[in-house]
Amino acid sequence: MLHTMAENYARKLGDKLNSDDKQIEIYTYGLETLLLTLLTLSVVLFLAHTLAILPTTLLALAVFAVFRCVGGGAHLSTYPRCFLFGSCLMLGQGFLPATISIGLIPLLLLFVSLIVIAFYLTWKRVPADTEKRPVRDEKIRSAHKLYMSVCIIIWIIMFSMLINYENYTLALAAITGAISSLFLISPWGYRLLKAIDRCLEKK
Amino acid sequence: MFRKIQFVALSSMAVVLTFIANANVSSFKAFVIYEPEIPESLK
Repeated sequence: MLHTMAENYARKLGDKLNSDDKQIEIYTYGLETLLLTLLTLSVVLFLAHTLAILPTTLLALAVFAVFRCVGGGAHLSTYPRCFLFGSCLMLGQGFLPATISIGLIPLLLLFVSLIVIAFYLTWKRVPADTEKRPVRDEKIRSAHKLYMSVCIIIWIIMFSMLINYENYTLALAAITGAISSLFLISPWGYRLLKAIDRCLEKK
Repeated sequence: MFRKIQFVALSSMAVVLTFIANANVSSFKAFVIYEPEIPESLK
């Protein structure tokens, strides 16, 4: 539905500007991406505000978005599935830290093990590409690994500052955001999304 | 006058959409767990 809507608007825009078919395709892709992001984000932020988990959701989302933008990850095959799964995942990232209280020692243990996993996944799997858009160029692959490492270091500094200010709730939100993006980079994330796709295609 | 404003607004929109499309091809999606079909001209 969103694709058809984007295509219609892009065609109207193309007609007004006398654009060719290739240009209209690009407008459609740009508009579809914009609509998908805006719709998902507005629903997630509205629900987060309603559930009073906006600060933790925003921080977890920021970590998730940066890691995913640089490191990539698994995708679902249709937008409705992505919308449902993505919204639950993004809200879950904010809901968990807002409702669970965790001590300093378990938080630090979680953090240290996540650093090891993050660097391992960066070395082994980043950029986590898809069949639709494979990344084969070695230079681009190395650049993604480097950017991801820089992002992990920034994340470590941010987490340390939150611990320093004794804000364990937000520190846990930084961890849940990282866990979900790293999970989608890992082979288990790919397997899970493939299983969801396979399950829903049967119905 | 109105036509001029309309043309400028639509052209700006086209530029923004082209920028978004190109930016999305060179990086991964941040908030969306679904990959729309990439146009041949951007591959």
